[in-house]
Amino acid sequence: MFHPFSASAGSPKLSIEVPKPLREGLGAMHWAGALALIGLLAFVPPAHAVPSFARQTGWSCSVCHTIFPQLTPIGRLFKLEGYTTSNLADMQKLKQKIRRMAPLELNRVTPLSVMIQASAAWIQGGHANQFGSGGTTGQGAVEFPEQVSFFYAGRVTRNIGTFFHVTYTHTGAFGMDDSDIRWAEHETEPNGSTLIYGAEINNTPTEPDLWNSVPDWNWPFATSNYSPLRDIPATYIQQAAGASEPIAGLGGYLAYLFGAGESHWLYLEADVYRSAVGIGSGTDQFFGAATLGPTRNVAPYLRIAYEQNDEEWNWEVGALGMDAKIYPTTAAIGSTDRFLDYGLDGQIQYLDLTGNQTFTAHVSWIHETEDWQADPAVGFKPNPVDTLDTASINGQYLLNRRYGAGLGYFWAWGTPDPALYGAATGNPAALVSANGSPDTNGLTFELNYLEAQNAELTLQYSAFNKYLGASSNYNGHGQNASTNNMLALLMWFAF
Amino acid sequence: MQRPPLQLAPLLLFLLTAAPLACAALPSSAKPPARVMTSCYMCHSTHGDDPRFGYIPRLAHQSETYITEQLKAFRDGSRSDPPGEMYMWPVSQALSNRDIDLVADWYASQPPPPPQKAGRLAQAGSLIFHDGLLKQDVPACMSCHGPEAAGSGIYPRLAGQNVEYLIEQLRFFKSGVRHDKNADIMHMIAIHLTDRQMRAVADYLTSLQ
Repeated sequence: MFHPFSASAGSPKLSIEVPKPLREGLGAMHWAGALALIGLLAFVPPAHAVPSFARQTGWSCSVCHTIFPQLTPIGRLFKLEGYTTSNLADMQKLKQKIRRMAPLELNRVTPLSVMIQASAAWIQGGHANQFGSGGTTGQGAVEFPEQVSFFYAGRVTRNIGTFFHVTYTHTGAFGMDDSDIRWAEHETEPNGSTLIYGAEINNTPTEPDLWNSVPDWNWPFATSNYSPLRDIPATYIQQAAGASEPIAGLGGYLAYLFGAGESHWLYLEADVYRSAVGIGSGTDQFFGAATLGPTRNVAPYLRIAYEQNDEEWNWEVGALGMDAKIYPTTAAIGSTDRFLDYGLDGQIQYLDLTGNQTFTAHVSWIHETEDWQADPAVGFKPNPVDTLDTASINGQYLLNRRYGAGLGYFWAWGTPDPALYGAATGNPAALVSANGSPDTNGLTFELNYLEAQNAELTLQYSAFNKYLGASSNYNGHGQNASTNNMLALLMWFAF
Repeated sequence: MQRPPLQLAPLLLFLLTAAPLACAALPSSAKPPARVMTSCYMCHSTHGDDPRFGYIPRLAHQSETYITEQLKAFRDGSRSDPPGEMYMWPVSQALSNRDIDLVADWYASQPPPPPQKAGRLAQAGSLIFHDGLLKQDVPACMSCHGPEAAGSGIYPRLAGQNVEYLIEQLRFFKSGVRHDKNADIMHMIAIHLTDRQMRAVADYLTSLQ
């Protein structure tokens, strides 16, 4: 798995700052490979909840979310319907008056929202991870803001809606964050079933998804940019979370809701991704050209999931897969490396809304085969083929929409490869594995307090049992996995 | 060709004019109105037979008058209770009178929802429903809601309703949280009911069709 020199400004899981001269002096894939251990985007999707949706529907945030961005079944339907459900009157109704004229369907309220995050993090061994070489090295690093996002999220026409946003982050610039624009329609059958279908364009695999067991939406929903959680080895599809790969996808989906009360859902999605400009990747990338090697032809992505709703309970099982062939340099010539990802996921949710208790648990597993056939030609020599597996299980409880707690465990394991994870990468010592192994596991625990549904305070603790191949002295410089343990205070609000 | 008797002319004229007008007014078609599919179905389901959550009411075969009245009461704010304010106030703001008529017609014309399994207190609930609790000043529910709990006019159908919804509404009536023009009647009844008796009535009603 490779890693971009400068990941999306929209993602809170950002990259090591590679000195520019060094970047220019080496082929892209040299560094991509050298930094491959940095699963910067692995398990920490950005926290997204959009007040403009609430303004559009008139519904409280808690109709569609438990805690952000965890969706309820109604939230999933809202997304399936293309964010178009509205209880606002259109500004004009030309359609009824002059039938041949294209209608104007402007919202009376422009669907703009702002989201601000700030954080403070204390890492047991100091901040020697992703900002270690050029950033703060002391304890208690504070980010204000950690992120600022501006959204245009809501209905555009009767069938078209957007979840579109740009984000400012510590790189000092705005960049695209995970976004989609979708068209949706539905049909009802006499037997009571409903077919919802749509087309969408997005910049992040799994962003169009409905469940929080996929990489772009999985828990923990936020963490500090200094968090070692961002450094867990990750597969391509995980690294793409938060618009962190310079790709754009065109796809379609359908959801078949059947059975009594349409309580059984079958969801299918197919997308093709291709290198794109306009996908933010750091300070010089907003609407600029990508510096990474482009995809060869298109990278297909497939998703299937089944959900069942039963009163307060609903559960989902699903599978996903993606096949990406990437050129090692921007020249886009010669052979490509190949990242073949597939995985399984599940989610179970309990919504006792009259008792004001909710619980959601997720489980996911993703396997990646990394075929580095192109890299020897450019001087980067990992194993011919590596594998990487990641898994997580976590659950979140929320009482009265005010007090929350979450607990989860994560794993990464795969083929030892010094070129990807060892000293040869040239990474800071904290990110080097002495035995070249990606094996990492640990737990995350957090407490949440919501002053209001759009203002949240989180105390988060993550502890590592194993880090890059060992529990103790994993990097050969006396550093133990526990030196990456972190306590963080996170603030989030949106309006 | 033999002409039809002249006496039939008014009848033919009536059929030719009234029938299309009647259809245009409120079609009870197999296809749900647009409003149902852009809003209502997300919580109540398309046919109103199996809502997403237990605290959301089943609307299938509900009294058309009752649905109409409640939607208008949500819209003008005269019906209030916590879920109603959170979900139904915003939704009802977007409904015109015709929307309300179409939605009410749609759900009222759906087949009754299938009965659910009777709860363990259903037998006691049946007694309360049919006979009331004289010592507690609780009249028989059937005196307004009908012997089969089918409802009529402004009195809602309760047969086959979700247990959670019934209990929640009884609690709202009891605590005075729910307000609407008929809430006082139910408040005076519900204040005499214990939680167990509310559960018993709900356990019974949900098993009816």
